[in-house]
Amino acid sequence: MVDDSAQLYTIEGFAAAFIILATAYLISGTMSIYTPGDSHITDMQLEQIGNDVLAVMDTPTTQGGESELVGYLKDWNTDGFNERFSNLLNNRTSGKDTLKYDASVSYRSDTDTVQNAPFFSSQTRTNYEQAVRVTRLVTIPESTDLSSHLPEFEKRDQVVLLEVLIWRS
Amino acid sequence: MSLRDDDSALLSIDFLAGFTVFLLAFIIAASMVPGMLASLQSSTVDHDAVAYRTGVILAEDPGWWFDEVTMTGHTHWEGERTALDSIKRMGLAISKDTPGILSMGKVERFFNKIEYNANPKFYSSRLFFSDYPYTFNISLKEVGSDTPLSIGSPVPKDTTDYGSIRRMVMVKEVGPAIKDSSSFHSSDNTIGAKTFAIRLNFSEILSKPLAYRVDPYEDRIEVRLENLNHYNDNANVILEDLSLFRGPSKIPTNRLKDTRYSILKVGDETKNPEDQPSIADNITLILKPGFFTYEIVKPSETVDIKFTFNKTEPTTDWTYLNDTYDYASTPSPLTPAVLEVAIW
Amino acid sequence: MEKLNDEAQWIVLMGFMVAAAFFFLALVINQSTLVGQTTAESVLEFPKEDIRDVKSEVAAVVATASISDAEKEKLWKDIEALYIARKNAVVDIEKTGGSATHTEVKIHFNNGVTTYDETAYY
Repeated sequence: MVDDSAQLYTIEGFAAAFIILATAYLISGTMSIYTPGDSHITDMQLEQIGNDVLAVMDTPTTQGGESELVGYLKDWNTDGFNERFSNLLNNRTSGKDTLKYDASVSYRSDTDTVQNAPFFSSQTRTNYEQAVRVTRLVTIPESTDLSSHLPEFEKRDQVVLLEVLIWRS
Repeated sequence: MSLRDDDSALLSIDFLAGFTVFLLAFIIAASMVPGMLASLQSSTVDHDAVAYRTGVILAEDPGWWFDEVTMTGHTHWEGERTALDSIKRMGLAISKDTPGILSMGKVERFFNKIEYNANPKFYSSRLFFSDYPYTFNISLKEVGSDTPLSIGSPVPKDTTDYGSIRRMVMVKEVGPAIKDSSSFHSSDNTIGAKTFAIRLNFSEILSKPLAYRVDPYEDRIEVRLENLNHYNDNANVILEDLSLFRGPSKIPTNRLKDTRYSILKVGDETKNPEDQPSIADNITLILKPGFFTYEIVKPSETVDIKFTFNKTEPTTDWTYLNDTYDYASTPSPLTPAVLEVAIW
Repeated sequence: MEKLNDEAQWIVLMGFMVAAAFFFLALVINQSTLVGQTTAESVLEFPKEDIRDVKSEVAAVVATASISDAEKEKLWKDIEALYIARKNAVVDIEKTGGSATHTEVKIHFNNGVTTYDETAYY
């Protein structure tokens, strides 16, 4: 005959299983998982726009012309650079962004060592920003004399590396 | 002990009932699993990745046009007006070797709200290459301008609801070549038709660096002839014919008479060349991007766009424009622009 | 010895089921972390813009007629030194041939993750 002795246990089992499933469902629904990948997304976006802005500034607008970036660097025109770079970096199709940056120049000095000198900073860094670094090689002509800004500067045709740290303030 | 009472070898009813309940519960639990995962998936990861990919296609890829019948393909997809299926990919760059430099012809074709509204699904399939129905908003604004171009749905208010990427690009645009007619040769005082030709030497035009040349396959070609009234005999002049020639032979195409491909303006009014319009002080001919295809002109050839002028009563001697203008224009300086892609 | 207690087998079974479901779930979450890393991080990791920058700079220098070949060698040394010092990447640029109409340049790039070699004709 049918043995109905453990019916209460069975029902209890169902109830327990249901409660566990329901709890798991609720918890997982309210929980948002911050994967390591998420933090890289903002980095990726900053790096992309930074590289793009440098590339745009380093492309001559007419054939055989000199790029904006070469102009700012060889004249050490930090104000002009700041105005243009900030404008391009924060330009949006609607509204403005709030990106800050810190630009420096690396170059090979006459003692054959690579040196780095600050160029322009739009905000003093606290070193706690989550910043990304983008770079661009720039060829500056022989007529340029930047020895007052770059120690041990060798006056010749040369390639310098413009490095920019970008962060969101 | 009767036979009926012995249930030792039967499949127990208990087991049947129990197993049914188990199966039901299992099915319900299994069907709950995808729902649980939906709230778990970190959707911004996917949307940001798709936005990045779409941004790369738009900014760094020239797109792709391919005809399955003739098995030919090229990157000048923006000229296709009828067989939209031939457009495989809608990239805006002028070429693969110049990432970040966009062609104004492609930009205008892409940010065409009428074309987009007519077929939004087509845009999705040529941008995302995915069965998932992404909603998107793509906008482009030249730096310094206040009027962004945009297509797609309005962007959600909450920035965590969508994936996005912002790109800085440069746009190449070709302005009109404006010519004063007095700078050209005139015919001697004779009876009959006078011709003026705009000559496009493709190999010469295409020999410049990619970013700084007018690409007749891809850019708008606009020639404006001004000051035609400086001729004493400017009354009763009509445009008898407007045709495309390769050397002495006429190229059979009706694109010069089709406003989808070209526009003729006389005195700033749009005219149909077939109506033989009478000529005012100026004429403008606009060949829209994609007017020329490889079937019409090969990159090594030279073509003439011939204007034939005549008097309404061709009986008297008259002097008029009678020359060949070697089209040589350079694009306007590249202008920086910001391109934003939002996907959700 | 007492008889094996076989009551409440359902509870044990359900317990197994839930355990299996959690295991499966954990596996999927683990995977999603991996996906996040490969999409955004691989974009960051891949030095596309660096390689393009080196290439475009080399192309621009080669095209500048006013710079003599000896000076160009110095510019290649600049790029190589800057990249090893500031970007931890080995770059090697070498003019390998050419004629009046074109110059053949070999570009080697290696930042430890990505290696890129090209023989370019400018």
